[in-house]
Amino acid sequence: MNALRQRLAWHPEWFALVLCLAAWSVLLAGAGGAMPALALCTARGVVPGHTPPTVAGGVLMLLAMMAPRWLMPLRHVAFRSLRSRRGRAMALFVLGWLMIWLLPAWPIGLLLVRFEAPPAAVMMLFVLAAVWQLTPQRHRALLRCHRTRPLALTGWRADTDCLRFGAQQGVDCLISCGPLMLALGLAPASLWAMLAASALIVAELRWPQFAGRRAALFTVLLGFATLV
Amino acid sequence: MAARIRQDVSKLAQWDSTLLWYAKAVADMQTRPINDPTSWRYQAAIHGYQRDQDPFASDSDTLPATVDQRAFWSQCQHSSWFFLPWHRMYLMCFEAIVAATVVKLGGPAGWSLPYWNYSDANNPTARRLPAAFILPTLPDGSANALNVSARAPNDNGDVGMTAAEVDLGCLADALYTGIADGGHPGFGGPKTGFNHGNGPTGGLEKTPHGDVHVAVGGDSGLMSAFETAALDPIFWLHHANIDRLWQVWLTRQSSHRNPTDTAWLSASNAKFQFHDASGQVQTYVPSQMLDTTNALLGYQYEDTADPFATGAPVSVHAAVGGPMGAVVQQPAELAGGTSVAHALSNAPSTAQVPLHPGSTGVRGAALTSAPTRVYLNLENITGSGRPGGYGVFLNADNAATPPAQSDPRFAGTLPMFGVQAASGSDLLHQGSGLTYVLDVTQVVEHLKSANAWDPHQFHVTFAPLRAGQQAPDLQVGRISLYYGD
Repeated sequence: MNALRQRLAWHPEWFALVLCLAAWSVLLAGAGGAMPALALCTARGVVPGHTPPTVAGGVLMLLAMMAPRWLMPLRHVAFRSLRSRRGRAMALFVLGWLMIWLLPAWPIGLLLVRFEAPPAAVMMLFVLAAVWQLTPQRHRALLRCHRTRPLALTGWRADTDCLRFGAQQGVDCLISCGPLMLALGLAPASLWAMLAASALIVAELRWPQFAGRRAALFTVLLGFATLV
Repeated sequence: MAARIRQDVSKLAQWDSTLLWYAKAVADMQTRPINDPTSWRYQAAIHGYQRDQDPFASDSDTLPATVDQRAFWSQCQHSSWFFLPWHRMYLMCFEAIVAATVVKLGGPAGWSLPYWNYSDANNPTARRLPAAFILPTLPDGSANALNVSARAPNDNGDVGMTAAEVDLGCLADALYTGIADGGHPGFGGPKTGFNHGNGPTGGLEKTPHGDVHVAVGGDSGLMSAFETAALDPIFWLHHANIDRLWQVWLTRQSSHRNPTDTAWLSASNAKFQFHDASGQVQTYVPSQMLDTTNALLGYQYEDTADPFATGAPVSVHAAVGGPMGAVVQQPAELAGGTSVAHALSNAPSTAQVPLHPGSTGVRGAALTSAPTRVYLNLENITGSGRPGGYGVFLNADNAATPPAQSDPRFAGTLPMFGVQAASGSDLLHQGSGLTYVLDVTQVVEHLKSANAWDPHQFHVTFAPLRAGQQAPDLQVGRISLYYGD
């Protein structure tokens, strides 16, 4: 037990993995509860008259796919905050990040339920996402995902710094991963595709040599696989 | 075959053959085009390159292909546990190119790079640039390529380096790999992937490495920036000494060990490629850099004796700070910090740092062992240009005229080497700035014993190391205090 406490003391950022596992558990449990979430991802999975996408569903999907991407910045937030407000600081970071993603995701999600994208269009989006992965602009955004910023210790300034840091990371994440997520959103519903895309996102951050050409090839193959 | 000897430049005659051939080889390399991997400018660009900072940029330049620039240029590893092995690879390849050039010019085989031991307490002129680097001509009257004008003003090689800037306190750090979260960043630096300079900096990299860069370069010289440092021929002797100090650290205590992590040994999340003397591309990993006498490296240093073994302090700071603990039991704990950035300037400045009421030096409920050390973190330091370094004092009485560096309130130096590169967001940098960690345990103990420590707040004074140094937009994002091991 002491060893576990020691381990957790060194890794407060594992809070992100807890969120990720919880979200995946809900998704994998399937049934009606998960459908609203998947409906945000795809129009293909929609049945006539089904429930429109919900904010909760969108948050669930983002938590499942993107939470591992927060490990490094959450570690910064945790250790650069007072212990007494560590949980609050991490939660505000996640909130700031989610706000940035939900802003464009919500109207896009509403659009998705009204039409079904033809396979050629879906494949084109995956190819465009792959091309984007090869550009210097995208590489700069990916590098900025490792950026840290100073955080005030207490008061409203501490809260806004954490929110702002989350939002800043959210913007850089949106720039680097947005095109891939859009392509995935229009592709047929697939939990394994979500898992693969999530793994790609984490791999690019942890192993920079994977970013660029390898990631672009993986993206194109992912596109083909979702349409098969 | 016996390993070559990298010699102490202070023990060499002014124009010893090693130095004379170095000067001739540098001059020859400087005639080669920038896209030639064995050229002077290409070798310097490996460390860092920005076209708008290239003092030799010309319309007639044919730069290497963009893909090659990305693979081979601006690759220096900083604020990282790869700092030492990467620079060892860099020097190895450079030395081989120079040695081949020496042979091409009719000189002897086996040329070895000397080192500049500016910390030698037995040499009163140790901190002066070696004579061969300031004389305008070679013995035959030809121009001396080792002498460059783009350095800090100097009086016969004396750039005004202080003892604090060449302090060897880092040799007492117990662990190679530090932590990046408020505690000690270690002798060699924190665990990272490929890192061109962002985040906390290891002990040796900060001092004397960063300090010497900034002291020799000044506010406009080559040595003060990543992108031009290796254009100054003294760069290589400086880094030979840094490389030597790695060996000194390893041999002075049997407990001093290199990392055994596969991620470090095989650089699994980075890739280090260089051109060898024949222009062939080679990929190296840190596991090949552990023994300087192996077949690949083939050298040893003239002197790797423990500078502390004589019993005399190697600098005025032998009693200040202290070794990072051999066992880091728990993460460091934040105890206080500023909420707004603190601007640094060319005059002394002071920042008030509040301490959180709940922090008494005891860790949180889950962690029961009392911390043993106190760390001052200077986080997210950003700025442009080539600002000079600063001395840091805790609770100095008179902020406008800080005490001498021998004062027990002196906490250490902050070299601003690489701050511009670290502050920008580009293909190599995230924009986090530099982060330095100073062990202020003994400073705080002194203040407590002198009844000069307020548990609610303290103040930090930043004193420019040199008069008139420029710092147009330099700032410390946050000043914080951590308790740790």
